[in-house]
Amino acid sequence: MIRASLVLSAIWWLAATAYGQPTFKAQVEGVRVDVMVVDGSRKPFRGLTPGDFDIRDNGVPQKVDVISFGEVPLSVTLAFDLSDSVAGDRLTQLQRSVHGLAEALESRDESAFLTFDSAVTLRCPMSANVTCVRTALDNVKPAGQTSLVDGAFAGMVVGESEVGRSLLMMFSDGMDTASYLPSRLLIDAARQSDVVAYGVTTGGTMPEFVEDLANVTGGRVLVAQKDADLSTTFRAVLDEFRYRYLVTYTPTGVAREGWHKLDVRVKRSGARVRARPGYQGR
Amino acid sequence: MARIAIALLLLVQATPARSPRLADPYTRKLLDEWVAAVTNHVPGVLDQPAATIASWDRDALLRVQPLARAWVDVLGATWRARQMKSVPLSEVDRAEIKRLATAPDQLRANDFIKRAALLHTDVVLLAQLVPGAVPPRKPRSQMSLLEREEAVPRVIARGPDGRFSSSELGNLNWDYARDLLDAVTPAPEADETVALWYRTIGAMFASSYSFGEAWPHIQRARVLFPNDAGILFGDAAVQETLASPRIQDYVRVTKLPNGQTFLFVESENYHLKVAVGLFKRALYQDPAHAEARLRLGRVLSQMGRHEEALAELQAVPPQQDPVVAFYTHLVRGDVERAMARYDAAQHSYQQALELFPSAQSARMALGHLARLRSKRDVALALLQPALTAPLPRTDDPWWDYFRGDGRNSEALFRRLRAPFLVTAPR
Repeated sequence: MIRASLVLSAIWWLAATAYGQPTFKAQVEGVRVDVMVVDGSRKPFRGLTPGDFDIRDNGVPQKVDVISFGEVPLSVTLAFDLSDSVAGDRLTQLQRSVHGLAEALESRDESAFLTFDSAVTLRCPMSANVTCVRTALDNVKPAGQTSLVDGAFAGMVVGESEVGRSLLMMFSDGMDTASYLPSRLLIDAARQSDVVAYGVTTGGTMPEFVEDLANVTGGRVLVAQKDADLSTTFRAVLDEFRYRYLVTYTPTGVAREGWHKLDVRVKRSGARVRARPGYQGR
Repeated sequence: MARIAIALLLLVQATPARSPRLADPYTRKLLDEWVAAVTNHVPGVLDQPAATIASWDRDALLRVQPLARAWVDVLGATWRARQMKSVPLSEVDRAEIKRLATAPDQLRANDFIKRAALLHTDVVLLAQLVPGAVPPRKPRSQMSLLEREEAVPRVIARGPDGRFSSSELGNLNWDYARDLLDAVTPAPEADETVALWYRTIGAMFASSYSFGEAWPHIQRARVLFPNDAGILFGDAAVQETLASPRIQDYVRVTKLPNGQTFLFVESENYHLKVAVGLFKRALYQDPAHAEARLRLGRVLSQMGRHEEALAELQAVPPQQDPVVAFYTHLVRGDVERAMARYDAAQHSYQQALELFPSAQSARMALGHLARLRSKRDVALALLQPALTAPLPRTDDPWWDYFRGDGRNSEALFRRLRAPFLVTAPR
């Protein structure tokens, strides 16, 4: 979310496509905030303009430069648990879900796929080729323990994008049993990252840090009540993420370094807002 | 006066009259099978004697348990034998056991007792035992005599891969083995084989994350061998594991059925403190114990005592064991990172990686450090070899770190069994 120096191509692209009036600021720090705005029935709140957003960075009101809604391509990283507990019907449902997700990706989107048991394995590097993602789980055999924290960290690093909006979609059905990284280091790293993390589980237990990770990145945790619901749950995550606002502003009146508390509001009645609570400046 | 009457009543209820067991042909047959199995079993082999005992159900084990205990007490002429009242047997049974159980000398008595312990060990380890189902709770009035005499049974929660799956009764064979070894003379705490058995089985429990079974084992080992460096190290490593997120998170979120609660798992801080004390005692007994020192360093670091941790890690002697060296570099890197000495941390992690070039843990550490220093592309480049290495991968020592002394379990078993393989039963 925070960039040490503005990614010029990204801002150019956003400005050109979203509003047709290119704005270009060289050598300026820009902050991008991925914001979910929904109405009372959790449907995306459409038609907002920069003037509808009230963003405060460490309490200081900021002028929103540009927003986009649904236009920016996605960089989707799937990080799925393939440990022992996933074997059987759950794996079959996961395979179906992945096929469905691959269909739902648009040609301009990029995707990557990694799995974790004890080991974290990058099965499909980030690319626009969905064939790899579609077939990534076709011939796998779940086994071993669960390196959920390591898998999430690797997914975050793989998925970070200078250009697109980064979604990390994690699936696990149990607790972490094998990671090297402690979860607090993952959370710290997530504070410095653009990636929005969503966790999906199947009615079982999910470690607390996944909820923390979702909260600090502006994502959520969804629970599929049964394995057969996994496919619709993953699609719901993708749809929800696609129709979020990407809000960009140039911080003014605040120090560069340190933790920046963000307060994002929308000046429309009935709008519910979810965004990351802050970012680490550097 | 009224109080005395109540106390007596309770006392009478607590010591019901015991009916002779050996008068029952089935029980007598079981005892004969047990004696024959102990005498003929070859340690480390699932032979016929071991298979026979493995075929016993819980009821059979409960029937024979006090008889076996009395048998070895008589053989060993232990203090328990002199106070036979502590054994829950009838006078008739005691007299019969005294008549049957004879050994020409103490050496042969100890040999029998140790072979008996090894038999029960092998029954658990080598036979595919069906776990005992946890019976529903019932009032004491509805319990059989055997059920009443059994101490409160241990219930073990199974949680493979971080999910609670089932509960089962603790395995009575472990109670047998511990109980039998208490009869070694002149004293179990003075016997090297008993010490080795406790360390070996403790290591095996650690290796298989069998903390439910480890609990009574550790309790007894602490009493018998408070100054054994190997046992102290194994105990400390178990405490370190119990403090780890994989255990703490599991216990925090797992809901056990029937109102059961976890025993033996306390807070992270509690286990870290206990581990520090035990590692220090192990090092007092054996100052050259490199793995104890490195683990002490890690535990201190987990408690935020980074300066002390670094001092311990710097004191780990150079050694041949690449796994211990790997752990030392990795943990030292963690401590240096926590102290914001990033260059030093990177150097330590690199040294770990040189020992195990595709170890995921070392690459995660380096990748995270790069990410911390805002070098995202470097982080990805560092992670890439680990993420794309061919499967299956088994070359990361970190995956075994929380097995503690379990890493040495196979070698310990070889040492434990060896003397009993070169000599026939006495």
